[in-house]
Amino acid sequence: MFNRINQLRRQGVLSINARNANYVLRYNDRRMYPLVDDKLKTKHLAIEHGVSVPGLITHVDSDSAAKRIAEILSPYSDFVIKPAQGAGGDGIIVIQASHNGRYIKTSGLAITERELQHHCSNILAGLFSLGGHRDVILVEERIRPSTVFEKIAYQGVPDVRVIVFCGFPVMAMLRLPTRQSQGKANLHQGAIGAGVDVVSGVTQQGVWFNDITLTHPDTGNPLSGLQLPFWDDILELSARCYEMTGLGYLGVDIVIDDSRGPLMLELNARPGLNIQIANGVGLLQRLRRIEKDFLPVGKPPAQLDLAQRLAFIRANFGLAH
Amino acid sequence: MSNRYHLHILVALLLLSGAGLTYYQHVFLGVPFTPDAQEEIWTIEANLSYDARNRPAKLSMYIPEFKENFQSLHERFVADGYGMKIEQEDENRKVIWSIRTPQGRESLYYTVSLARRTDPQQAKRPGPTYTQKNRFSTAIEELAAESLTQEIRSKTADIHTFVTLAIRTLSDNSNNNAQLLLDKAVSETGRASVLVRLLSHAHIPAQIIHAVPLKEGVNVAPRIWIRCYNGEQWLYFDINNGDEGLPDDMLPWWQGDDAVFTANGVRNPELSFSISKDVVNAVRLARIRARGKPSAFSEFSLSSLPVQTQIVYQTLLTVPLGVLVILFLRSFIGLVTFGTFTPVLIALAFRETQLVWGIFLFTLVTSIGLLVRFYLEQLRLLLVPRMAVILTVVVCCMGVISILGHKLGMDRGLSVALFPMVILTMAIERMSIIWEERGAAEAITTGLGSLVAASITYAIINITILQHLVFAFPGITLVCIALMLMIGRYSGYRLSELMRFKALAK
Repeated sequence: MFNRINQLRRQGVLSINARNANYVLRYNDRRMYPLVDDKLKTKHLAIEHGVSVPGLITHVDSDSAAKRIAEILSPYSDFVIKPAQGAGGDGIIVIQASHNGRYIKTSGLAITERELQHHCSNILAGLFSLGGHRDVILVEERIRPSTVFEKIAYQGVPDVRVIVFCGFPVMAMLRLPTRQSQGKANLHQGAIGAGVDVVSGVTQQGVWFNDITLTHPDTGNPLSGLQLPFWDDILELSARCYEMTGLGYLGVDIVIDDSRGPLMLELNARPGLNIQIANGVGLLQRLRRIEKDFLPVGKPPAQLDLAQRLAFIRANFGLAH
Repeated sequence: MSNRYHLHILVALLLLSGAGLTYYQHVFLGVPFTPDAQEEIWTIEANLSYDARNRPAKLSMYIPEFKENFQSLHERFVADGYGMKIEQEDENRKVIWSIRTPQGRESLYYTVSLARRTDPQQAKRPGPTYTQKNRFSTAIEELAAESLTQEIRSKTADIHTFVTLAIRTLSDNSNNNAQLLLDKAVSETGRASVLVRLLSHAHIPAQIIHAVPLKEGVNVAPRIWIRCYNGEQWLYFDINNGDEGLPDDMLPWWQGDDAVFTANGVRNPELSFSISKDVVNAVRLARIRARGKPSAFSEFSLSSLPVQTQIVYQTLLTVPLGVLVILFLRSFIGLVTFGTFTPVLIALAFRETQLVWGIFLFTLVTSIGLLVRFYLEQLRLLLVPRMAVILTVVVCCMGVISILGHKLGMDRGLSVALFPMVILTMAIERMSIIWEERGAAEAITTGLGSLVAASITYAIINITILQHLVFAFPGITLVCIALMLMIGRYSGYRLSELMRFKALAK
């Protein structure tokens, strides 16, 4: 057991306790949490800061409006319904087409208008929000995933998770939905995470639950060697979320839309740790490096602009190093 | 960084004050560390009775002072119609009773309850010096005493051995000098009195001590001891064999060669001691002791509350302990549970149901609740009404289990009523959502995790000695807070993470 502890320490693996005590609590101001916990607020903030996001069709915050949801959405044939304060992808329904009062989900299954209404009232009552608070429904434009993912995505929309530490995008992975995850890109639910070289944007091995996997379990195709498009834009987009929220330890989820390019989907103030397994690298060594170079104890942090931060990342955190 | 010192200082303060408080309670108030520690309380009743002679009567009796190993818990004087006064006379305390017109056979009582001191202390009186009044009366006795003193001194090294040998020599029938001194004194008291004079002759301050042996019985007779002052402390000697040391079941009652009581104007006065022993819970005794010591602390103790409320706090104070267990399971082991403190509440319910029944009943109620929840899912109810229905079903379900259990003669079934139903309802709702969103496996894992956490918490908060400790020693709760603060800054790996990150272990 102590041997394992030493091995993990040597690899600089960040533990949950250390993430919470030394990074989340230290670098994330609690007053900023509503900005990331409420997706509606995140979206308004992003638009204000010029960070591209999926288009917002409407938001619904009353039960009477939820009853008329079909009527409100009648001009749209495809859309995404999500709870503004949902977590882990729970409560999100992606409708790819509507037909005669039935809505066809990306899985191909259809739901009725009544089921849609019921789902909306559940969202409003806070079924999916942390702590069961009353919530708001977001209706967003559906993302059309870039075709580069066709071989390694099973339904759903893959996204790129970037860990941004004080404006430095320190680690990234591509999250791929599986049959197990029912189209969701959440690792806890069985999605695959493929490590991404933060310098080049090329995928590496993957992690499925807590094990390393080299292929996608549903398609059987290898995960590694895929060059993600718009990689520099993705790095820049994620890094700018630091200035936008002021949160020092942040998980940024980015989707790549076929026509609009990288869009910031949502933010997470306590992002998961399995990204380390996907990259085969501990987060702690990178976080410590940045703390040592730019955040000296007892002195004001070094002020760096976006380009300088990205240059530092490119010079130091490539997998080739 | 100053933040960190801040925490360290706070933790140190809590630990110190917690430990200090506990030490104070244990050592000075005698609160025991084990709940069933027993201590003895002795009750001595001195009954002074006499026949009245139709004229004023005045009686005085020595009563103990409780200076050294014993402590009086409660003293009572029963003498209806008598004037009473307590006087200090040299080193004795005495009670004086008086009455103008006594009638028939009268009885006066002095009753005292006493216990051993937790912090025995030597009396801090100035030691006496030898006095002129303890002299032999005739020249020939002086001579015999001088010769005896020389003889004994030549064979002994210090006060201890001198006194022991003096006692033995006086008991020696073949020693002429001793026999001469003892001449008229054959009784124990007489012998003791001679001994005191002999020791005075040798310039050793000595006193006769009358001690009551703490043995249950009626008509217990006081016994005589000699004590000598060696310049620092009193040394006690058995008058019969010269052995040193006062046995710890001897209560010194009075000193000197006077009788224990004097009675004027009465006939046939008699005094008898009867002694009884009570074994009491040491916690209770500590409480009685604390009453005698007015301190802010004993006033501000949970023990001062009404018994009913005390019982509630006995349970409540185990909650911090349970929470500490949960913290440990989450931060060091990495167990996943429903809600943070749900397992603590379930564990509290287990205290009433016992573990096996508790697990069975919990599983039963949760399963029925889940079935209802799945059925309700089809009706597409709003969240709050749905939870209300589940809550009601849970209550009904508990009622049915109680009735069935009772009818089948299993009264354990009744205790299901103590389950925290609101918490159960939330657990059912959360579990069913996890079931739908993440599959049955994860829902059952989390449910089992909660049950395991509750069982471990139950096992720990059910340890009698811990229950006693947290209730009797508020300091322990401060130590709990200190531990929680320390866990709050623990940033190492959890046991579950060692498995989780096995792919990274190289």
